Amino acid sequence: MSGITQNTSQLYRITYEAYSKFANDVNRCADLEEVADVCKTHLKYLLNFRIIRMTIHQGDKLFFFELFGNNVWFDLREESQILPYEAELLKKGIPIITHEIPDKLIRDKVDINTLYDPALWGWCFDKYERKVLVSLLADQEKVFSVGDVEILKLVVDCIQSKFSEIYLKRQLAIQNRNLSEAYDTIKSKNKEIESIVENQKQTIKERTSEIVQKNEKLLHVLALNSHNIREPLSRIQGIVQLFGLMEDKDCREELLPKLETTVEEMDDILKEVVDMASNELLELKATEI
Amino acid sequence: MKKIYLVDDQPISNFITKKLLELEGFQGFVKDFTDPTEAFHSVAEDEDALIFLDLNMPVMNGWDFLDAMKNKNLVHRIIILTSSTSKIDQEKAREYPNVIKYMVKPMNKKKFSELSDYLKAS
Repeated sequence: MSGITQNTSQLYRITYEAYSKFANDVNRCADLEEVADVCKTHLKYLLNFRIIRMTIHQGDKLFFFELFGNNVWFDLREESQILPYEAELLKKGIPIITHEIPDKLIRDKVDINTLYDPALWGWCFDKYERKVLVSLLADQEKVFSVGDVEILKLVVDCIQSKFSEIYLKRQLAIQNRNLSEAYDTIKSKNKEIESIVENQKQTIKERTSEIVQKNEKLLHVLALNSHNIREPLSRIQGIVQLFGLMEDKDCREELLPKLETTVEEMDDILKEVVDMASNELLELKATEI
Repeated sequence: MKKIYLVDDQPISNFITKKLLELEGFQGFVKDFTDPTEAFHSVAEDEDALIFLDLNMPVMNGWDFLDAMKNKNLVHRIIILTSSTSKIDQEKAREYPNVIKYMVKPMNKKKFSELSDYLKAS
């Protein structure tokens, strides 16, 4: 049993099996809570740590993921802030190892007094343009060494990929919802437009039939008036042409009074026509004749 | 010589037609009516007369007059004499076989001479 740490190939195999179990389980996760559960169960077989903190860049946003003891904490709403040493890490990209432990990192998570010679490790991993800041707090009881960086990288990569997948799924769901909301809005607007168009059609139909009726009425009035005017006019014409055929005396005595009467009648009719037309115009709310 | 009846609610129209008949040299019997109903009673008693008939008249218009004649099988010849230039009226007049001519007022000597054949026959 004592020889197991000496047997390098066996150690590698155990590590490989632990990692592949971890990776498989992470792969099956549907949300971050499940990822957290997997980390709780498996990570301790892969790495020694007091705290692991991941600050992930997704697009122009920052997300936080922390593991300590048996606890998992994450913030997907950008409510937390990047720590000063992380900002430095992000800017320079140079890995750090320090014994100055920021209070903010360990507060409410680990009691600093229980730690024996704690060291904070920090890296800025940059894969496919996606940056992730990884902090790892270890001490002499939970020793972390340079040799563990490769397995840490694999773990981070695995979690980050899952995180991206969950994030994109979530974005997709939000967009889908937005789209279906937009679709519903368009549908209801379409219905509104259809009903407006229908109303317009109805209005146009009514107006058109109103105009047709008015036109018919006006044509009728026009025909009637023309006829009423033409009647006395034709009498006047009849009398006038008799002037050329009759004696002057007869003309004066017989035709002139008849001409006068007819002319007066025609004048009366014309007045009536003007009155009628004016009233029609007033009815049509026209202000001018 | 047969009789000529003038049916027009306007007495001046009847006067003009009478004058023209006179000037045309017609010396037969001419009777004018301004009341179409009264005129109808007279022509109903007569046979084969020539009637100058106006269309637009109150109570009994020219069409009523023609319909009433049809109902009574009266066969007088009708000359419609109207101020209406309407095509609708002209078309309608063709439906009555009694109507031998549709004339638009004003009447004048030239138009009257077109009637000379009918007047001679009367």
